[in-house]
Amino acid sequence: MESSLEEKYQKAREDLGDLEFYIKDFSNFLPLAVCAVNPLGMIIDFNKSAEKLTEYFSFEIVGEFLTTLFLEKEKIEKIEKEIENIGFFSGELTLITKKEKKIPVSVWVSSRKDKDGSYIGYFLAFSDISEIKALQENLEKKVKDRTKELQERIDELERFHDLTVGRELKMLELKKEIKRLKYAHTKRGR
Amino acid sequence: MDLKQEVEKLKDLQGNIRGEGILTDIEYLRFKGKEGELDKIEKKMNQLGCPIKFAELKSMEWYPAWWDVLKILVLKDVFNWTDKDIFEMSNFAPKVSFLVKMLVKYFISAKKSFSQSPKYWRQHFDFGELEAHEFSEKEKKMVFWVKDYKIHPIMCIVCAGYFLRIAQFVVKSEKVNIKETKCVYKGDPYHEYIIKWE
Repeated sequence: MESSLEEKYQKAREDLGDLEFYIKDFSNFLPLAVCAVNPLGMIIDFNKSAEKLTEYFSFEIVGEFLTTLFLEKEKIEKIEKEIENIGFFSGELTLITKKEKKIPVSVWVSSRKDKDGSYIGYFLAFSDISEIKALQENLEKKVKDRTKELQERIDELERFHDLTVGRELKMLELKKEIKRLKYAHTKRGR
Repeated sequence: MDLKQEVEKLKDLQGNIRGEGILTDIEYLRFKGKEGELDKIEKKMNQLGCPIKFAELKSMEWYPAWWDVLKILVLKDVFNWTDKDIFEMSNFAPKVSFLVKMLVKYFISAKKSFSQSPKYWRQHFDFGELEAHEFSEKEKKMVFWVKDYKIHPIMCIVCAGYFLRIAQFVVKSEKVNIKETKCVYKGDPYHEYIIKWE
């Protein structure tokens, strides 16, 4: 038997409620910092991970321009101008936290469109890469130090080589001189 | 203010509001560090005959509009808040609104937001009407008429605070202001709000 209009309406309300809980739960669980931005560059939504990383509460930052959060303001403005057409962007930026701490972050930006295809803003996800950066810098320093160390060893070897080869050549010259003198002496004795 | 008398008048109100309209003000209490007072507010509302349970409210579900009005009156009474505090609270509401996040398509530009505002109203209330009356980019102003919405004078302040925040979401200006220039409680046929920016 077909459901009545009232039953369908009740079911739709329940589905909406479930969907709402799902979205909120998922957003709270997501370990990646995510925010939704409107076409004017204003933050509309800010998840728990974003709150944790930036030290801003959602209600403090919602309604503020995204440029508030990053050091590279001109780059953000450029991305905002282009994202509607390019659809996706990824790169590195510097996050400025509420306590003005600078954190290097990887960002992913994806444009949003409504069901009619009209541009309605974008999602921006960002993750802290300061540990990776520190590791990378540490690694680069190690490589630099090892390269310097190796170069010093090579220089030392070259000096040794020059020294030993020089001595060998001198000995050869001396041997030739002895041979020449021996020959001259023998010749004179006859 | 005699809250018992107010409740008797409010109970006759027809019309519903989304749970979101009530829940955003609860978030404001958290923001103000008054989360611990929630039980007190709920208890007082229950004593006044409103069976509200804040923890059971759902953003998208519909609830009697008078619950929302009573909640504001009780907050005003308990915390001794002024109209300015109520304005600040309602200006805060869209910042934490689930509906705003969901209906982001309405906030893509001032003009689009203006034209879509009647639909946005109907997402919140099943009564009353918001008319997008005038928009001028040149004069930097928007005029809204709120019709068939005579539930309590405190809601004039609530609407003003809320509308202002929505405008702040879509107008690229640090200076945006709102004024209620017509009001049904002053004998006008509707409420008129003018939003201007620099």
